[in-house]
Amino acid sequence: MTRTAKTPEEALGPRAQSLKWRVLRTRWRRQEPIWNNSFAYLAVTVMVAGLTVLLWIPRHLFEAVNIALLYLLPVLFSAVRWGLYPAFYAAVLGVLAFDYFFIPPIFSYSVSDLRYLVSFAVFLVVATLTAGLASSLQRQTREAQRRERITASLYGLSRQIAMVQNLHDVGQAIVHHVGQTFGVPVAMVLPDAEGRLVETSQTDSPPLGRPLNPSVLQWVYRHGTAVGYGGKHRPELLYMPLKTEDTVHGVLCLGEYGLDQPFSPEQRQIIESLCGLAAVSVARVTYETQARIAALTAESERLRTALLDSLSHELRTPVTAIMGAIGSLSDDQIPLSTEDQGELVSTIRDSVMRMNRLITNLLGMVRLESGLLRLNRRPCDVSDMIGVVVHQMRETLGSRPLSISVPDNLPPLVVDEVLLEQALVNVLSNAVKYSPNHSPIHISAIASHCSLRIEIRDFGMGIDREDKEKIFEKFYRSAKAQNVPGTGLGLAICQGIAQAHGGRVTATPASPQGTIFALELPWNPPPYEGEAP
Amino acid sequence: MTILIIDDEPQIRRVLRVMLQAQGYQTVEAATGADGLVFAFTAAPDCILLDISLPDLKGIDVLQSIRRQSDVPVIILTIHEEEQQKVRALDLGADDYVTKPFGARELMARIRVALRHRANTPSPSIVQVGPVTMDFERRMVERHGEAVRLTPIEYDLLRELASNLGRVLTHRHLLQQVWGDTTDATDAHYLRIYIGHLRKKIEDDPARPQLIITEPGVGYRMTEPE
Repeated sequence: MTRTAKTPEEALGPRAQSLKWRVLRTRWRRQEPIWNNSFAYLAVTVMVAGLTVLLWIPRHLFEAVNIALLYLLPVLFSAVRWGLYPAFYAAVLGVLAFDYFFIPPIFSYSVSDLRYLVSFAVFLVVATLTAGLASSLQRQTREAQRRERITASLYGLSRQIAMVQNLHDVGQAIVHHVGQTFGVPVAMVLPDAEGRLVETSQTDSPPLGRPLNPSVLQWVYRHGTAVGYGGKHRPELLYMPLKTEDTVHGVLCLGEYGLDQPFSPEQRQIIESLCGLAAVSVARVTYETQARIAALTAESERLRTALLDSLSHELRTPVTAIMGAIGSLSDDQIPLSTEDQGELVSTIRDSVMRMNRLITNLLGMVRLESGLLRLNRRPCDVSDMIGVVVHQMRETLGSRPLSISVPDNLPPLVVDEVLLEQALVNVLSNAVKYSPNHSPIHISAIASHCSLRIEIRDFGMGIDREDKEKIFEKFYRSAKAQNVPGTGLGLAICQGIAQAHGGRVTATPASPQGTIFALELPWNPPPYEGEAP
Repeated sequence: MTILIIDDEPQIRRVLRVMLQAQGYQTVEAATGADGLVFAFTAAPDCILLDISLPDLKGIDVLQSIRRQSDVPVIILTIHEEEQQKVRALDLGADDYVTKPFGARELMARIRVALRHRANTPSPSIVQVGPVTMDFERRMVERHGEAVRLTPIEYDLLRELASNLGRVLTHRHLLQQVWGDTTDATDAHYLRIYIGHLRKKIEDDPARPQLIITEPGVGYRMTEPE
């Protein structure tokens, strides 16, 4: 088997060796190495020396015990300030100075009274214990502060991305937050549909100085291991994998070589936590999107079947009627009375009108669904609009008693006149379809201070409680309406048009019989995204 | 009388030809805008039926080219949703439009009105539409024999509609004719209010107007009641 885990240096070839790309350990070294903190040891030395000088002058006033106690001060101080090892060093240095300068014989490490050896031992023990306690206390404080910073940072980020639904916004939020926290350029790279890594989001200021290294990106993405560039323990440029349990979702790149802003181990820890959270968020959004697409596909599959069923039936019926009528009319063998001919011609006309209605509704549905609907809103006169609808429907309405009551002096309603008329035509033809011939229909407009309500009441078969909402769903046909031809599109379109205007259509049973359809529209509609210029 | 049909659909052309010839018109057919333009200037048609959505030239461009050289009546064939296109065509000099699918009666009425309007006969001083009689010489309007009192603007509006009986008039046209050029042509609100007043005075049932018909998104048309 070939080695898959090539390091970035190997992946980049020998030329890249000089570049300081380094695979970073996942566990950060928390404590700096002892020898690294030379300043602390120097300071301890200076402190002990200073203390010795200070004590040397009034040395006759002090007992040896007092002096020994005072030598604990540098130990305590360095334990709090620099940690355990400088404190030990201070203790040892303190004992040596104490012995050399203050224990007779002076200026010698030899001890005249052996009891002093016990004192040294006690001093060392006390110093060590104090140093240990003080430094661990201090470490805990620092740890707590560090945790608090990480938590605050994570909380800030999680609050920003909790509500975001699409990948782009998540990317922007993460990049923005990380960039703001560390004051460095940040870029997030996510795979596209074909699995290629594409830079999704980046901070706009300051921009990443150089293009991201694609080989390193690929390597980090494939192995899920962080890579840094710069000093060994303080890299200036980080490529962090966005990794949940077993999947790498992308790469977060931050920093820029040459800005002299290396990341401290603590910062790297925060970055790692943030990357974890970012990975979870990216995963969440990705899975949500996939789930939504799956649900949509299933829904559109169902709709397509319903559409095909409904279309084949609704189109074939009038076509059959037309073909039959034309066959009879054009056949010389069949003697037809003028009356019969008229009957056949009106059959053709009715069928064609039915097909035309179906086409209008289908087109309306397609436009509503595809988001191509453009509202061309203008102030319209409500009574005029109802007049136009009734005029359009005059043949369907025939001789039905129709009453229209619209209050005088209604303010103009700002709507797309043509669309709203289509909605009203649909409701009205619905009322005609589901009520007996010659039964009356009432149209009335009722104005309240925030909305206008147009009611269309018929005296037909009424509506069941469970159908009240469902009849506005696409292709839904009520069980009791099965023998009335229809596609189940008209009311769905109505609802779509009403909603585009910030309103809605409702159906309620009327007493003693019939249905009231109410189209409710706000006088001041909220803006609609598909507004025509 | 010769009528030029410019439409790319052979079936539509065939139906139009049969319809028009049955009414005694002669027909010339063109399947493209370019052919249509040639026939418009060579066949000397008395009226042109122009499909607004042609495959080669845009119907609007054909209309503009015709209007640059000729005053022949042009009736646009269009579909329901394109009311902005209708307004544009009317503003560019089309006489009227019919919406696909249309009936023979509707088309014939439009053609008759367009031909009559272009014949340049002085409009009669007395016009009778349904129950309403308008005497423009004496500035008198009567409904069912009773005098109707109109404000000057209502009278001007009625006069403009009645002297274009059967033709659609756009909002802009009416505003310019009645209020003059000073009016903001986009403000159709005044117009709507005055049309409402006018309807209350001359229609039998203002909620179901029979004389002044609204063409949604386009304008108004005065017609004989059905």
